Parts: sequence; C-alpha cells; structure tokens
Amino acid sequence: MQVTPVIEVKNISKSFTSTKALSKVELRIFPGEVRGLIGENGSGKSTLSAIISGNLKADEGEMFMFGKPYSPTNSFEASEMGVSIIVQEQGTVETISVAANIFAGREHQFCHMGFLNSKKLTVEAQKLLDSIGLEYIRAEMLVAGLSFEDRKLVEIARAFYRLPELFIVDETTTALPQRGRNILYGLIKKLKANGKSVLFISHDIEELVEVCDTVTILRDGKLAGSLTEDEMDPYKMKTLMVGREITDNYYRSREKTAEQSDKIVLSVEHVSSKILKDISFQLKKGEILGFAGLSDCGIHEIGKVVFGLIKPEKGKVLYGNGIEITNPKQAIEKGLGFMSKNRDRESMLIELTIKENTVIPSLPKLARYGFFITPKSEKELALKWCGRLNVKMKNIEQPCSELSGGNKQKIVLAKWLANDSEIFILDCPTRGIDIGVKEAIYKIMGNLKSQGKSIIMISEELPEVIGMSDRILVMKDGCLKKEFIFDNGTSEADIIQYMI
Amino acid sequence: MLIREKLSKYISFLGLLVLVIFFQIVTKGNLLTTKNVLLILNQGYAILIASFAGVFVMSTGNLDFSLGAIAGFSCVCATLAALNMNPFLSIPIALLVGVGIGLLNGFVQNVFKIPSFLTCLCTMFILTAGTQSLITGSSIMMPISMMSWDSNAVKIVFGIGYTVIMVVLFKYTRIGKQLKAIGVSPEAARQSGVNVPGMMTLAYVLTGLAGGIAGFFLMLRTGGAATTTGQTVTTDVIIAIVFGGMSIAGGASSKISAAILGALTVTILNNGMILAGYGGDAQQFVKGMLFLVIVAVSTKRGTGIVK
Repeated sequence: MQVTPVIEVKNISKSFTSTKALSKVELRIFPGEVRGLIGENGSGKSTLSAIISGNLKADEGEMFMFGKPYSPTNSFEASEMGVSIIVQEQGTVETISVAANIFAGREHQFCHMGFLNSKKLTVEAQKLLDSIGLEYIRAEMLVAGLSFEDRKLVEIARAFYRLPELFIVDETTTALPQRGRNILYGLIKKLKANGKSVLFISHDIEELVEVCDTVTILRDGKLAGSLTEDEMDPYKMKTLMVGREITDNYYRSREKTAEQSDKIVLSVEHVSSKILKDISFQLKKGEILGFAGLSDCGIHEIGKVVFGLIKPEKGKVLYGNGIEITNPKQAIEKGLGFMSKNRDRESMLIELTIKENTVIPSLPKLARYGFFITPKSEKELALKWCGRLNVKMKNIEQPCSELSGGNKQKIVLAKWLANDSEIFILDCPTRGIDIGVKEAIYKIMGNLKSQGKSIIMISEELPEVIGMSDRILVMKDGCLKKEFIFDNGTSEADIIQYMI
Repeated sequence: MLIREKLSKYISFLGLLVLVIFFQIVTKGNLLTTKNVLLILNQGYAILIASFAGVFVMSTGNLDFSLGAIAGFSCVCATLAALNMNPFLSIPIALLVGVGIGLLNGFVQNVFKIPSFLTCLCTMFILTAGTQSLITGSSIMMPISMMSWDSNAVKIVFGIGYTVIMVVLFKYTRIGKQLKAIGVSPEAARQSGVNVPGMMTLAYVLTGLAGGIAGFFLMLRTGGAATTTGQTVTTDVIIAIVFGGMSIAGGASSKISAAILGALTVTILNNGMILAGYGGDAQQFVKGMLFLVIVAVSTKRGTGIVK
C-alpha cells in the first residue's frame, strides 16, 4: 500500500523579475521522514521552503497535503494547517514579551470577554518552554533582552505549540550554539517518533548526513537528485550541487600569492562601538583579509566603521598615511569602496539606471573645471567598467531594478572600480547570487589582488572566506578571537570553534 | 508596458496640448491672442522661476512648503528697501532674504533633525506673520520710478539666462545627480559619497533664492507688496511639477523639463479659467481635482508609494 505524503509539491515554478528561482520542482515528504534540502546559494532552497510555508506564492504548480489540495495564502494560515517554519533571518518582535511572541496571532485563545488574560498566556508559554528544554528562558521577558541564539529558540518554541505536521528548518543551525543545536535535534527526533515530518535546510553537509533520512539536492532552481540514507556521501552531494566535478580552483588560484607587499594601507586602532570591543587590525596592500563570525558578532559592523558610516565610540580608523577616516564621502575620496550586505537598499540606487549607479562616486572626478559633467564622460566610464565586468544588460540606460542579483553585485563593484578605489570592503559579496556569477566575483577579487588592491571580505560563508583570504580574522561577540594565516590546512571546523 | 512607458513620457505634453485646445474653444479663441499670451507669460513668470528650484527639492522626495511665503516676505522686504533706502537695494535685499531663509531651513532640519516638511511649514507660518506685520493696511506700493523696471525685455533675457543655469545645474553638474540619488535612497546616496545634509541644504538655498527672485518680480508686476503676495505660489509650484511629469517622491522620475512644462500648464489653467469666467472657488476646486487625478494615475499600484 502506498503511503500518502504529508506534503506533495508538483511542478512548482517561481520567477523573480528576471531570474527563474524554481522550475518545475517536485518533492514528496512522507510521514515520519526527516528530509534534507541542500543546494548552493541561489539554487532555490529558500524559495521552495517559502512557498511550502505560505510566505511566497508559486507561479505555477500545485501542492497537496495528505492528498488534498494545499495552497496557504500566508505563513499563519500554513501554520494553522500544520506547516511551521523557522528561518535564517530574525522572526521575533523585539518589543513584546517572549510569551506574546510565542502566541502571536493566537491571542484569542487567551481572551475572555474581549480582555486578554496575560497571566494565563505567560503560564502557558512557560510550560511550553520548559517542555522543550528551554527552562532558562522566562516567558515574561522582553525578546529585546535575549541573545540572537535564544530568540531563535523562542521561534522554535512557537512552532512547537502544536506539534506541526511538517516542520521546516531553514538554515537555522548556523545561528545556534551547540546547546541550541542539541535542543533542535532532540525536537526533530521527537517529531519523527510522533510520525511528523521535517524539511531540514542546511549548508552543512556533515550535519545533513547526521540528521536526515533522505536528502534532496537543488541546483539552479531544478531538482538535481535525491539521495537515500545509504547513498548519502559528501562528495556525491557536492558534485550534484555544483553540477560538475569539484576542482580545487573554484576560488582563486594560490600560485600567484607573492604580490602581497608589506605596505600598510589601512589600520584600525582600538575601535569600540555598541557591538565592537577594542578591535585593532591592519590591512596590507594586495591583501585579501577575511572576516568570519556569526551574523551578529560584529563582522558587518566592522565594514561600516572602516567606511566611516558608523562613528566608533573609541578608537580610530586610519588611512595608510595616517589620515583618520571619519565619513563615507572622505573615505571614498581616499579610495575606499564599500559593498553593503544590504545591497539593494544601501549600495545601489535601485530605481536609477546602470549608468547613473556606476558613475555616482566618480562624479567629483568627472567634473571639468570642478563643475561640468558631460553626458559623454559618464557614458564612457559606465561602458568601460560594465564591459570589463561582463554585466549582462540591454544597455547602460536600463534601470538596475531589472537586473539579477549577480549583475547588481557586478554594478556595485564597477562603481568602485570606476572611481579607482584601492581598498574594497565587501560585505557578503556573493550573498544570494548564483554559482556562475559567484565564480566571476571570486575571479574579479583575485584580479584586484594581483593589481595590488586590498580587500576586506566579510562573509558568513566559511568556505569562501577560507578559499579567498590571505588572512582570516575570526570574531565572536564583538571581539577578535583568532587570526589564521592562509595555509592549505585551515578547515571550517578550526574556524567554527572560535566563532561559537 | 512599452506603450505605457512611452505614453507617460509624453503625457505631460499631451495634457498641455489638450488644455490649450480646450480653453481655446471654451473662450472662443481668446486664449491665444498676442495680448493674452504675453499676459500668460507675465502671470506664469514667478511660478516658472520658483518651479525650477522646486524640482531640485522635489527630486529628493521633499517639498518646500515655505516657497510661497519666502516669495511674499522677500517681496515686502524689497519694497520696503526701495521705499526707505534706494530702489537698487531691492534686488540684493530680495535675494539675500531668500537665500538666508533657505539656509535657515536647511540648518534647522539638519541640526535639530526635524523632518523637512515640518521645518518648512513652520517657516511658512513665521514668514506669513512677518509679512503681515511689516505691511500696514493690506498693501504697500513701491516707488513710482520703478514702474519702468517691469519690462518684458528684461524678463525675457533674465528668464532665458536663469533657465540655462537651472538646466545645467540639474543635468550637467553633480548637484542635480546627487539630489536625485537622495530621492531614491538617502542611505544609498550617503554610501556613494553624497554629503546628504549639505546637498539638502543647497536644495533649500536654491528654493530660497528662487523665492527671493520670484518675490522681486512679483513686486515689479503688482507694483508693491500685499499680505496675499506669493500665497498661491507653493501650491502652484507643486501642482506644476507634478503636471510636468515628475513624481512627488522624486528619484528616478526627476527631470528639469517638468518645471517648464508644468509652470506653463498651471498658468494656462489659471488664465483659461479666469477667461472662461470661473470664480475663485471653482478654480481651486478644478485644480484640486486635476491634481488628485494626476497623482493617482502616476502612483504605482499596490505599493501605496507615490513613484
């Protein structure tokens, strides 16, 4: 007899303006199954989980739950039907209590004659927290007072108020310390024992092998294959993810590392801010300096401080010749360029054209007699750099909002290159872009290095930090914890132990 | 989609054309007589001057509500200077008053972090009070000797020069480009090397200066200053720029041509309605409705954000 799947996804496709995120994906998850989902960034894993959890609507295709048509219009509806999700990004409201977060949208259960019985709400929430091993989190506390890790656990508790039929974990474990991970693994076992199912999304291949019964691999929005427990093998999984045999020179080639000089182009001296605690480091000419750490440990703040966007409470950022950097305008004049993690909102003028975006930092240089900017000079500059970086576009008058993530990223690089920048601060340079463009970005970074330009690379993806950096600084809770100088032996495990 | 884009590119021009044809018919040909065309140019002069500067502020997604009050106040100051000191002093006084208020507008919002529209609203109230207290009665007259200054030749020469300067500033210098960037996203502009507070102040100085110039020409045209001088300038400018094809949110839609096209449209609308015999209340009503329709048509559906 055939078992009815908890969730059956049929022919699901989804596009975002110019990129196809998913194309005709099929997936069936059976009761009691822990299914892994893996793929490179931009392969469509998060899109698929968002569709199943009701956060996104598919363009085509159908879904079934226990054989019946299933089409939730939002995540709340999905969770009422038994599909709960916890995601990478923060999903709690800071300004209300833990209990209020857990029961958000379900307050009516605690209402009597229109009044909320907040005592009962708190008691129930505490019971729930206790039952899953989170006794140390108090239900009446404000979420704002919790650490990032604990907030994630509150979200997990919320998902477990009623045992979900399908529990989706979207790359949450990277944000959790070992204790939190163990709690999560325990809950997954509990679900499995109760005949419930889990869709487990992770970058960590070893973790997937450990936790999952089966693994489905996505590549460029298509199903690349599924592996059962006996077939699961890290090498096989990687090959399916990338779609070809993995070679070691996916990142930059290491033969030509000799160009690095000892000239210091930037030094950060005893910088402290809200998050950062007494950070000091130096950047050399032609060096790629990687920053690794959890997303809220201060690595992103470092980039903003160096670029003059955040004024440190103590300490200073000095340009090579000793001049202090105090604001972004001056930083740009000194040859710095910053690519924000939040590209569309901070590094791009998204509604404006490719040309306008490429030339904006260079406007002072383009001005003749310090004043006139000719359309011809703008056009030439934009064409030159967009051409060199192989931006896929109709023409330079196309609005940036129509471009794919990878091409937007290239425009951000083009605008700093056009301004002859010497120091590039790249915060998550390959976030959310597909693998082909990713490789192109790595190649550009390698070229910049060989031209003697310096790069600060901030990333939450350890493989790329290890693959690209000459030196890696590992951060935790606002402090610098460890420095790794590149050698072929550095592994993710070495770095992770300093991160968490 | 393409048709819509093309249409929206020319819609302001088409609107103006329709308006001209409509009033030409309604007024039985009285709209496009030589005499009336000259009158239109005279009536629209202050609006045109102010609209050019208005484009700079609006491209950042902000509005200068004090523009009309600046025109009124500098008109009074210029008249008083001409009466009590020397007619030639009226020019620098009008300009300095305008620039000074613009600087103040920029300074207050940057230093005290007050939203710009609030700052400008307050400036408007303060200036209106100032204007009224400086005028005894309902109006004051400039010296008779200055009547001859109100010459079409001067206005045309100055107007052309002013237009060229404004077009160049907006299209061919960093000022227009950086203000437009601020309109898309102040944070992204800052991260691209734009001195956001400085550029915003510059934009308000420009509207201040334009208010001063407009005030001076209003004095010449009306022969002095009244408590009501400049009152309709602010709304006429906002309506003009939107009629001209720019979005209130500024950013990508910003273009300097909106000032010329829009000022012409608003003035013809004002003039045509008077010729056609509409009362003041009907004129306000029609302007309000038309404004609403244009904003509604140019708003991106679904987001509720005016783009």
